Amino acid sequence: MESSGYSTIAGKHLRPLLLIIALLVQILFSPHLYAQSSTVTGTVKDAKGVPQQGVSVNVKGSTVNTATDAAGKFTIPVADPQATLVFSHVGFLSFEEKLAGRKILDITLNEKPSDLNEVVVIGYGTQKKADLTGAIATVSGADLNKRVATDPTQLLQGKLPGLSLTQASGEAGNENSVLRVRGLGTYSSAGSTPLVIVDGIPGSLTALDPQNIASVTLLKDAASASIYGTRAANGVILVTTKQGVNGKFQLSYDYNIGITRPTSLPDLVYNSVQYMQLYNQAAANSGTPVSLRFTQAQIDAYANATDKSLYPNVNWLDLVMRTVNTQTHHLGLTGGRNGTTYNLGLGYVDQPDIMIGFSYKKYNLQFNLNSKVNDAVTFGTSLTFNYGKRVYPRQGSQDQFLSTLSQSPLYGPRLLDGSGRYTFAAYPFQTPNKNPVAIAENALASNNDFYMQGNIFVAVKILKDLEWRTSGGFNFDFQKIYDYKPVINQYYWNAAPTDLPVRTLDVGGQGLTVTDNSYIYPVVYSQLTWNKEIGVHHFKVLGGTQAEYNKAQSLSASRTTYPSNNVQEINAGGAGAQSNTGTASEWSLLSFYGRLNYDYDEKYLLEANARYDASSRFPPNNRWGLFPSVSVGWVASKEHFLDKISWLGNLKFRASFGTLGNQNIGNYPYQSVYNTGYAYPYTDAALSSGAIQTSLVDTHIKWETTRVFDLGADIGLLNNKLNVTFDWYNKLTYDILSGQVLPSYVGLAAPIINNGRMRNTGIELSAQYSDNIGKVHYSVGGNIQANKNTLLKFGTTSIGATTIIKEGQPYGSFYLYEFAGIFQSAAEVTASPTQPYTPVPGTFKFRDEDNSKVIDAGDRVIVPGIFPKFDYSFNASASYKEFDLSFFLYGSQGQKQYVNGWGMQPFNQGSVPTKDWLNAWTPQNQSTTLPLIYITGTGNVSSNLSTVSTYYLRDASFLRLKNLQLGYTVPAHIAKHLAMSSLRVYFAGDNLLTFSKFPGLDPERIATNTRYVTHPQNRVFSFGVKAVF
Amino acid sequence: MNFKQPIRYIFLLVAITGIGLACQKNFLDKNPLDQLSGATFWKTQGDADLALTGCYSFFTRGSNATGVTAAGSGWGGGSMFWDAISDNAYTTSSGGNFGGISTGAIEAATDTSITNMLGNAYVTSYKAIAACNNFLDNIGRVPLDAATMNKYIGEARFLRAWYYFLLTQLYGDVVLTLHPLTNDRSSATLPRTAKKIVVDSLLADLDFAAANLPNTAYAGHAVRGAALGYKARVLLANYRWQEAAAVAQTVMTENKFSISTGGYRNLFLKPGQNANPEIMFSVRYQPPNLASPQDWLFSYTNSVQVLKYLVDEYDCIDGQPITTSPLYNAASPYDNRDPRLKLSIIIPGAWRGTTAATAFNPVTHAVPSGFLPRKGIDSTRFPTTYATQSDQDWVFLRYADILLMYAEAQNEAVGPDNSVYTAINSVRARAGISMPALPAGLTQADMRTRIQHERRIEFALEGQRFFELKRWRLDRTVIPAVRDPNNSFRTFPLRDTLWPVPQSEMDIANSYGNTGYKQTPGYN
Repeated sequence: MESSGYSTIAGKHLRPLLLIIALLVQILFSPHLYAQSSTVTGTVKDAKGVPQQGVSVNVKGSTVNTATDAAGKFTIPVADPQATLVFSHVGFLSFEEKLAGRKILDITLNEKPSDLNEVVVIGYGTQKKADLTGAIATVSGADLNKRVATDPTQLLQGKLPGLSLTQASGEAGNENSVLRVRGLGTYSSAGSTPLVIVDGIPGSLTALDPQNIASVTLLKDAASASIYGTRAANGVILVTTKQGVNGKFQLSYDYNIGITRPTSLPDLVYNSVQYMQLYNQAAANSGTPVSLRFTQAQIDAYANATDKSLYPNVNWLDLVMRTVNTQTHHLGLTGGRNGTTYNLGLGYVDQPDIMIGFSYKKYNLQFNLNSKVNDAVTFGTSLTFNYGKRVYPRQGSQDQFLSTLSQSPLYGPRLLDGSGRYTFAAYPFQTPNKNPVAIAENALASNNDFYMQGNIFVAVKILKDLEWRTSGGFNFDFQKIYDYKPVINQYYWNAAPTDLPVRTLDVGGQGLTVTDNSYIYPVVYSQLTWNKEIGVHHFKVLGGTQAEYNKAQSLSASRTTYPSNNVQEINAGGAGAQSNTGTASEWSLLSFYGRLNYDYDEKYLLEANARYDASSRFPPNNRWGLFPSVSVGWVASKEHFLDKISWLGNLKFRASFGTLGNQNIGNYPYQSVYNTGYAYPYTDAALSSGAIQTSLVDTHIKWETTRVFDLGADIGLLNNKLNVTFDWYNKLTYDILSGQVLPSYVGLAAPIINNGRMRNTGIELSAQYSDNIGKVHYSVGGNIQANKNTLLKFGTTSIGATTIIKEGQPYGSFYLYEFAGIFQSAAEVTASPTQPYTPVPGTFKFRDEDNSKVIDAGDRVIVPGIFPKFDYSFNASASYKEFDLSFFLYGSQGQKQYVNGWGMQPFNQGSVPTKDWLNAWTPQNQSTTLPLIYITGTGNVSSNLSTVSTYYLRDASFLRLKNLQLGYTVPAHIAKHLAMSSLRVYFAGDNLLTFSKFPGLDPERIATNTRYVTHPQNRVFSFGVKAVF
Repeated sequence: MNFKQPIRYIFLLVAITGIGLACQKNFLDKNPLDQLSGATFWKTQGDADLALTGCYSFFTRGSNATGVTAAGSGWGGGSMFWDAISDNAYTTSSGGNFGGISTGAIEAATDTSITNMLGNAYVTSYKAIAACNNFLDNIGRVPLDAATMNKYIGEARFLRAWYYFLLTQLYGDVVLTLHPLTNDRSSATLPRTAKKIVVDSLLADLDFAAANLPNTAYAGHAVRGAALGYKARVLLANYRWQEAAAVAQTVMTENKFSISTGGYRNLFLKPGQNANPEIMFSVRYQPPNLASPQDWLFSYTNSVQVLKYLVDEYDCIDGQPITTSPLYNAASPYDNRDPRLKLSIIIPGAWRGTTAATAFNPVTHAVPSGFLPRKGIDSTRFPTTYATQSDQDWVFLRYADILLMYAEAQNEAVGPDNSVYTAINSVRARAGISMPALPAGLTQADMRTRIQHERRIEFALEGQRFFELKRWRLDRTVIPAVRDPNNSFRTFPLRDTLWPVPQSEMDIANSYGNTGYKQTPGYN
């Protein structure tokens, strides 16, 4: 699937890197001067006196190490009698002992407290992992940052069971990852995107620098999420940024360079003669006039050309796709004293794109401060500033890609006469889409995004057990979008200097449009927490109130005529043709929330949550909604009767039930409005304003509600070396707010009503095993999640171009004619049921599902595959001495993609066919998989072959090696010479291998339309350094 | 523990919380900031003007020339596409799918898209009708004197009639509703009403409009003459000759319009269109806010190419067809021809722009039909670009049409009397055209042929031919005889005289169990 050209390009970039690496390796491994003068021996036991095998023993600051034998004994050579030995063992706390001249040591290792004592972030607070009763998944910042990405969202893929993440594309700064917690929760415009809370306030994950993240928690079920009430229906992602640590000032620096190229590209016919012959064949099949085909003389000119620059075989994919280097820098400063801690992170990302014209730069500042004023009062702040600059051809990456495929190999991007004029086509009848090189060099838009999120909090201990915490924060986003549309002329390949342009580059108009979009989103909450232990009874009660307000504004101005493409500000344009638009909208939310936790001896757990929310989006009489939940847990492993089962470290059963809401449905959905913007000029003098009602409204709409039932278990086995978590859920969303299906003759858009009902059921299973083999510490694990979506109530069935929304089926299932083969003869056509568009041999036959002898609307069938059956991931890591190796596999099974157009169908706007088409159907070569070659969009043959059928439905299941990493931690004594307290270097590869049946391009994609071409994902070879000073 | 100190902070907390919650009294009452609330609309004449303008704005659907697909859907300035599905022109454009429609690639079941004209004509017409119905049901709430009120009502009813007429022409029986529909079941289960009833209803609208609109020249708003002219057109399309002749006669007698003396070509270009006495109704444009796509679309992308059939239809200046006229010379075939030929069509060698460098060459410009449209194309804008914004109005009705409609109706109802000759000859004698008068003594059938010929020439490329062929029941014989530049004949089975409604509408009707709503015959 990969073109051979790439390895050489990558090779060019790799060479200098390899040199650097070789040098480094040489420095690091050069023999050092420590003599091995004496040996130290000893025994390692646990607290109960049991000898421990496989304990790693290391001379601190050196590479010298060994491991204990079955009797717990070790022998290690030590040069310095004052050296320190470090003992480490899975499940035990690491232990250091100074030799102080001793030659024999007896060591007792203490068991590591299980990670159940770990505290996790939950809604409006924290909780011990052991006490959790809801379905919660967490991942640490350290684990996330094993991979490198500019947008932390991407790093969540496969890390949080229950969260499915699909990266829409590899476009720099515009990856548009789609997140779903436990399936598609609703089909309404309220959306299925989880709520993201950053340091307690609704915020943006994308705007963060991944290096500043301390942990991410996913709240999956109603019990854990209902404290977020109205916006928690699709799950909640809680992000906590890194706080400072009391102690000495520490400086760290991270650097990564990633050599980036597309994961896969289609293999196209870039031989001009072949292209022309195939085109003529297609034109004949499609009934295109002979005058609109290549003449034999034209073909011969390319076939017999002595001047190959004039008659080239241009590979446009090579001109547009490239290998680039992405660089990320992160500088961290942390420390604290006297109760005040700080953490400062500075990040910079320079990300050119694998497609010409696109690039992204991101500058990030994170500042966190916490201060304990006295015993009772703490305050703090966390602030994120992010500036992102994205440059892109204004019509987007899909358009750029399809324009590329639309160019034939007969000409290059610029004329050969040195005039710099851009090529349109070689021959008049060719009508390719816009020249992508001209676009990339001239018609770029830019989005300058200034984002800020921050909050301050004050926490006061009013009484010993009672804390009052108030926090206020805001998000502010300001985007300035420059969209300049130059007039670029395009000429024929062989145009004389005086020839008129054939046409201008289609950049969708002319002139400059500058748009300012902004929103301000302040949030404030205040809460009381009461914590009380009475013997074995432990109570925790939380109550609070929150208010939110959001105002979005936009203002846009444009002028059409510009004297030169060099001046791209509004005032430089002619004032004759100028226009402006502007708008604003707002919403608000007022809430009360509370939680009760009770546990009996940390064995029987109970939690209840409730939130009472009011939203400005609903009519006054339906404004308030209550969202309660309850969950229980039983820590069975704490029961005496299970004490004796030594291999069982932890066993907990959980159950939860509750409701969640969704209010995110447009700002004024119940209000009848007259939309402005329907102007008409009765006279030449003035444009009269006009307003019409465009849609019906339901003045009684109310909240969309999601009810979740969850059963789960957490199991720790073999000294908690193996940890397993399992959850089953049944999530029912009802009163779904969505447009009714109405006939077009009503003339107005259907109102949004509470009507639908949809169910998602599924399981999540994750397991992780960690252990040692000798000196090798390793960990393997994986998770799998399967979800089934069923639409229970929708009302009138709605049928789209390729999909159907029908009760009893997954939402938006494929609904297509069934491809039944390729007609091999005229006789077969005659003998078959009447097919659309008068087929000929070599075109498609469709199945007559209803036996009506005519292929008509009744022959469409529902085809499964709109959602994956399951997603899964597998991780493994191992470390040996200074080396560590890890890999991460991610897969998705059972999803299909409907793909057509450029790249899939031949000669769509002249698009270059894939090499498969060399084996297209002909009377001599009776293919059963490829039809006759044709010109897409012309005549009955194309209409037949473009009919929405299962032919274009392709299996998009995939398994990919998402990440592979090899790291080396430089021994401390060497790092010390470099003035560092630690230094790690690593090589990593992203998307190195993909297993999929999907043809040509990347299977991981979001189907925003049915087009085959989408910006490919990136394959990255990266090298990184992590230094702490 | 010292409890005094925290008290300070408690005050701070109270203050912060208070600011957050109490800063706005009506914290949860939020109303649209850039749209007009339905609750407060329909209070003033200004509201009535806004709503009426909204109804007119549907004429400019797809007007914004920011892209060929947006522009090419056959509305307003894109109306020339309608000629491409007749024997006048040829298109392969996917804009509105006229390319597909022209070759007869109409498959209701597989064509679920409502973005092409087969569905768009349906969907957009009903949106406009809904806006008119809403206007008509609410205008009574605005305090207006009776005459003003009736003028408003007349305009809205005129517009509603315009869209119902288009619907009946294209789909035959269609859902008829004269009041706003809602989302209840009864609204969603309406049947397709018999065409005759729909026509009667829209004629009543036009009658009301004619009776209440000002009887003046056209200046942007619909006037009595426009209503009468459309009434004549509707009557003609429904073979009600006598009535049609009478209505056209009324327009002629009232004498508010006349044949333009400012030149044939200026009927289709600014500023000649301004206050032109011949124009009775048009779609208006005013760049940059509302621009027409037509220069770009029809002069540059070759999206409509004129067929030789139309070129050959132009007579020689002696009034004889090229097959018989001694003035016709195959070596210089475009000389001595009806002047309207070169005013309407770009022939090989003609300048597309304003200099010789822009001379038209069908081969190098990849125009296999050999000819391009010139009518309504402003050559000073050549070479046009995607950014070209045209200001030409698209003329829907002009006085020449009244005369020819009168001639046709009178000829059918009475025969070729003198008034028929006078009407048709006054069009032929237009300033700058001066084609000879028709010979006396034509039979009714001869006269019919002459009128059909005259209409084809006079209104060439104005989007009328397709509907005229329909009226004359010639579509089924003329269109399959068209051999396109790709050398293949068009197909036009009889069922194609009416279009199918979009399959999505059938799917919706089926799911509501609306059995009264049936697909157009022949498309199941």
